[in-house]
Amino acid sequence: MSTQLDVAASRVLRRVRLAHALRLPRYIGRRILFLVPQVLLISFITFALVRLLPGDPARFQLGPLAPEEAVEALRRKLHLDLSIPQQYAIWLKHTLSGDFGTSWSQGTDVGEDLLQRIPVTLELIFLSLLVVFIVLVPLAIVTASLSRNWAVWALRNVTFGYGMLAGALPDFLLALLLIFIFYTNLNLLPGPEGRLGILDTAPPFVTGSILIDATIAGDWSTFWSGAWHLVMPVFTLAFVYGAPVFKMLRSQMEIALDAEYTTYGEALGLAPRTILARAARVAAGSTVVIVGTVIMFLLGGDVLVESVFNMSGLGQYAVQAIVTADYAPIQAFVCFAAIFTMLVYLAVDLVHFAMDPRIKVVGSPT
Amino acid sequence: MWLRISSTLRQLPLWQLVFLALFALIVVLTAIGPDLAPYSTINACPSDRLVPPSAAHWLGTDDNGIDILSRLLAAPRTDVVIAVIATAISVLLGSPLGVVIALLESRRRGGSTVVAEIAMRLLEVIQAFPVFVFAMVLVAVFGGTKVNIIAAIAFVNTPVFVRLVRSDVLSLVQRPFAEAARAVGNSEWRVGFRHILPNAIPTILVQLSVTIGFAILLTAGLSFVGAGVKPPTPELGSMIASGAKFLIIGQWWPAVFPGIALGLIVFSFGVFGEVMTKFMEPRAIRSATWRTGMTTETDDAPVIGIVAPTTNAILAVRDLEVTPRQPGASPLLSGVSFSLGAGERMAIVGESGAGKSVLVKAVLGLLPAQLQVNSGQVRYGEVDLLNLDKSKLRSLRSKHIAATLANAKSQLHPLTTVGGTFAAALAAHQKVSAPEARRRSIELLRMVGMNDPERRLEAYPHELSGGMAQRVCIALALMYRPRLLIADEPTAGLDVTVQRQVLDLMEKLAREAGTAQLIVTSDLGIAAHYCDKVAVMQAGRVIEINETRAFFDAPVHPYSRQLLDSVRL
Amino acid sequence: MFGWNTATIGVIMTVLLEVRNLTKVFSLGPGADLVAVRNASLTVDRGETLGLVGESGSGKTTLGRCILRLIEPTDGSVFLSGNKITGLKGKALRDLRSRMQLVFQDPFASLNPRLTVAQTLREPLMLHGFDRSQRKARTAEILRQVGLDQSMFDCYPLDLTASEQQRVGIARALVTRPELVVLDEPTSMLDPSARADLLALLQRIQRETGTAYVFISHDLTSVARISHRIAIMYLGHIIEQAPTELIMGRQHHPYSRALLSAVLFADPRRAPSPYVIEGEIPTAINPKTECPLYGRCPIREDACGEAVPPMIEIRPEHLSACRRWDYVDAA
Repeated sequence: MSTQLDVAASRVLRRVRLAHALRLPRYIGRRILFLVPQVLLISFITFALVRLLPGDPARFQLGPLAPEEAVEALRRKLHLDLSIPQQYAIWLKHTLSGDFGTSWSQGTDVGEDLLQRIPVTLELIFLSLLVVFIVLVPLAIVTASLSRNWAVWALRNVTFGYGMLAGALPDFLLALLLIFIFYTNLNLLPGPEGRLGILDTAPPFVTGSILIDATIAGDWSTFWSGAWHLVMPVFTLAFVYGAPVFKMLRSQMEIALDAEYTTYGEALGLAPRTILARAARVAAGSTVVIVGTVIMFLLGGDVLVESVFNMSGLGQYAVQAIVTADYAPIQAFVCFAAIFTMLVYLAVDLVHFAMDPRIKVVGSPT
Repeated sequence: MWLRISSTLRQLPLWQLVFLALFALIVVLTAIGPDLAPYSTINACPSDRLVPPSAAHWLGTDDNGIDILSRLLAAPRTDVVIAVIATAISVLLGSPLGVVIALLESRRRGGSTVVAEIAMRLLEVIQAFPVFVFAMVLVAVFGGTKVNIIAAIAFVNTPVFVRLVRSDVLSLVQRPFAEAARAVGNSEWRVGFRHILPNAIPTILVQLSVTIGFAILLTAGLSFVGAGVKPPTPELGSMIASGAKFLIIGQWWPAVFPGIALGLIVFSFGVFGEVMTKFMEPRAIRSATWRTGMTTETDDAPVIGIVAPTTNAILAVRDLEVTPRQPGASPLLSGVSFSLGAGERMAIVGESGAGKSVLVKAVLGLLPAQLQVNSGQVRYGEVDLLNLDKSKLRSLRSKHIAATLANAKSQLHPLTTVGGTFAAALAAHQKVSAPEARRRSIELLRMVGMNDPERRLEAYPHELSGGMAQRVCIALALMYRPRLLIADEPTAGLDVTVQRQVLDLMEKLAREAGTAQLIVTSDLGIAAHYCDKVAVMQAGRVIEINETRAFFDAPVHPYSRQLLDSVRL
Repeated sequence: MFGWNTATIGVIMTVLLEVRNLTKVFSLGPGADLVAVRNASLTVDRGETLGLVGESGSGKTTLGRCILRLIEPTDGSVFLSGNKITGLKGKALRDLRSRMQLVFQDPFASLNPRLTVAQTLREPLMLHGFDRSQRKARTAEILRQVGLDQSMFDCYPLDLTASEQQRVGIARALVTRPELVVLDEPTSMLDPSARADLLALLQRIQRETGTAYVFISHDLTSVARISHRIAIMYLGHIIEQAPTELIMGRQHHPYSRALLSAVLFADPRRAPSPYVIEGEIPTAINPKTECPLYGRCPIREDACGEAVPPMIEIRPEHLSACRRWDYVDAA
């Protein structure tokens, strides 16, 4: 009765104390405030850089045989004759009202392209992270302990090799090797033909994710086809980009297991599982920071993997756009990626801060 | 200098040495690789297209008929040079910038911190660009020459070093030697660059090798999509790219060999980085024995004083010997014997390094993995503690044998509240409901003299003072009214007035509950007034045990006399 | 001048350091002020040692740093040989550093692990304009003076024992022949035997060079051994100041009495006295205007809770901040 009230009261007090002492809402507000000029700066730099890409988009669109006046007219229509800041202002106006421009090389509306391709990339990244969390995180925790169990010992050696290897292998190479082994030789998995086989039909577009849309439509054959096509790309990304998470988590676990509070926990008679869990909580702090970095890497590495496997995702889109000097898609991609990055950094800082009561100022090194 | 190199090398496991040798090979190839190539590296030879590995061409030929081995010997130069120069630029630009930002931030004066914050936000902007795409755009805009690739990679990597150095400097600037440098008369900037930055070098080095590896991969990746080094220059990424289409149809050698080479190169750099870190660690040149302060002549003379076991001893230790696991290492404890009866309090005194904490851990069965009990016996009543099954040992802990280890604040789990730790400790031995656990915790905290116990339950360890933390640990130890309490430096770091309160509490315990106490301390005052017996340790041995009065009146062993003389006013 | 006699002038000549009403407040945020040192005044004569005693939170470390201008005082002034040093900035401040120095608590952490002993000792000399031959001679001399062998010149801190490291720290502080050295808990991280050696060394150096010390510590026995006069601090206030023998003999502030009675002598026959103050030191954030000991004092009366008691000169050279200073024994 009264103790329950006490407990509830102290919990509220703690939250209030936290929010007050750490001025959380104000901090978030400030970070988001900074976000706006940062994004503007990013978009402007990209804009300027992209405008410097070699090649004349008007000429490119109309082809080498088109007459000069037609090219000039198109140039004027595309505002290419104005100064860069002026072009930027026009672009900004369009973007803020939802118009991302048109892709010259594809002839499609960039906004629609984004809508189709972002889910692809997100699906890949999400599934890769899922694999990392389901497989690599428990592995890191378990292999950190120095228990003399032979299974743990075997796993330790294997994962030791993994840590070394994964850092040295480029993602595109791994992708190629996987294709070579599992498609060319063993014929177990589909080749680099994209998200679905040639004979499959895509499910009706709801979210853009093959797996989700196929489930919604009840189309199980497409679901499985999509899943098999995802195996190699997801494995590649998880294998290569899970490594930093794995290494950081394991080394932090080792430090935590070596710490005085672990010995003291044993002295108190706590069960080995409890001790491992307590150590994991401490290790999680720095790992969360690394996860943020890894999400960033994933966005980057995903570009190459998408290209190798032909996944028609955002990354591949961007690569093609750069090679063909297609302004609008590049602009959109970089802005999207940049905003995504900043939000991820902010989220990571907040999560880390919420997890560790020792941190007094969000974002400071502990 | 050479001594350090050879001693570092000797400590390395075999596989690291192998890769270090490979690293050296790669450096050599970077320099003279193209000259070693048996065939031309750029002249096409269409008649020899896609020859599989054979006697003439050990690694086969690519789709232009060029010998792959030759190209492989020439390619490291391209990749490594680009990566090394780019990374060097990042480090040389980023590190001083990191120092500057950190120093501005630590000034804690309005204007400087604003500048620092703006700088950090700008850096975030640079880092927010997706690295690979950004590098691609830079290269596409400014051209695919090696210089531009280097610039692009350097640009995207500089923020990494700025952040790293800033973080390192911020934590180093609080260390006493930084303050000492200021006290001596250095200006703030000299302190930052002359004293702090050199100490951040190990961190920079580790990151350096990682970044070089990453830069090599980035170069290869850029070339792979055609945005980097253009053919016909031999470069691993573009070699893999041109080999990729043949890989899928079964002609694996044009892509796989460069791939393996790429992996090996990156890996060797990583190993080199680790070895460099080990090398750069400030290490003692002289051996450990040089470092003990007092005379360390240990003799094999028999222990002076009471050695005969007390009847009905709660704790009996016989000839305990603890050594490190590596063969040939000297023991940390040898021939330690003593016994403790119910309600008896014994002080274990000695200087640091004498082995007191090792003794505590050995008795509790909490030795770290690199130490082991070589021989001897530890009995709790009739129970042989050393050979006890793990789960039985766990059930003895806290209920029968309780301990408080040194430095109370770091004993408590930093992310758990006091209440949480109590609950965990209770739950380890019996099922208790949450309200019941809370009630018992409050009761225990009151018993150790903490005012406002309800509020203390919500506190995290870093919010407690040293005295409060120690009291929490004692409360945890008292939870089950143990028959044996082992306290390792229970008052270290506590204020004198608080010390007395803690000691008086422990004395009350011994009187009322008959708890036998083993108190490790380097403070002879505690031994004199709070203990019935005193055992003196030196270099891992117990050299004298006696009743307190007798010991202080007439210490026998010369070391005991030395100890007492140094603390007497 | 009028009213000055030769005795007064003599006293003025021998006063090396004078601290007047020094206050240091740390601002922890809006409405939260940590008063680390409050209205502290003390003097140190040439060639003598003033012991500054207090427990954690007493402000002794902060006061020591403020004297050296490593932390800026919020209010009050510090005079060295009659010159006001609290206003100095920039180069003048850096030049001051050759005249007053600091020895740290953690022997290892206070040395730059990447510098050899020689480099550590040379640096202050380089910063203050000594030329090469002077540097060579002086570093050799100071190393000898602290009892270390010349072979240690090329050692790194990790090669030395804690006691040796602390000697290097002392050497570094003394190398520019300062007039005053503040020592912040110089022996608390050493073993008891090393402690005794170090105290003897400090006394010997003082006899040879006439350097004045401010010896900060929580260990009353060490302080008593080496100090001529002692000032005791509690919660940022100096609550009693007197020559060593006077304070050790009979205290005139409840806190001083508690501190002394809490000491455990390494002699079972000297039973600790039962008079000890209960509880813990209160917070120094936004302190009330009252005697700092008010909450825990066994002899307090209402007047003590209404204003901060002033320092009363009980007898020459003996000051106490307790209204009931003559009742301290009665508790």
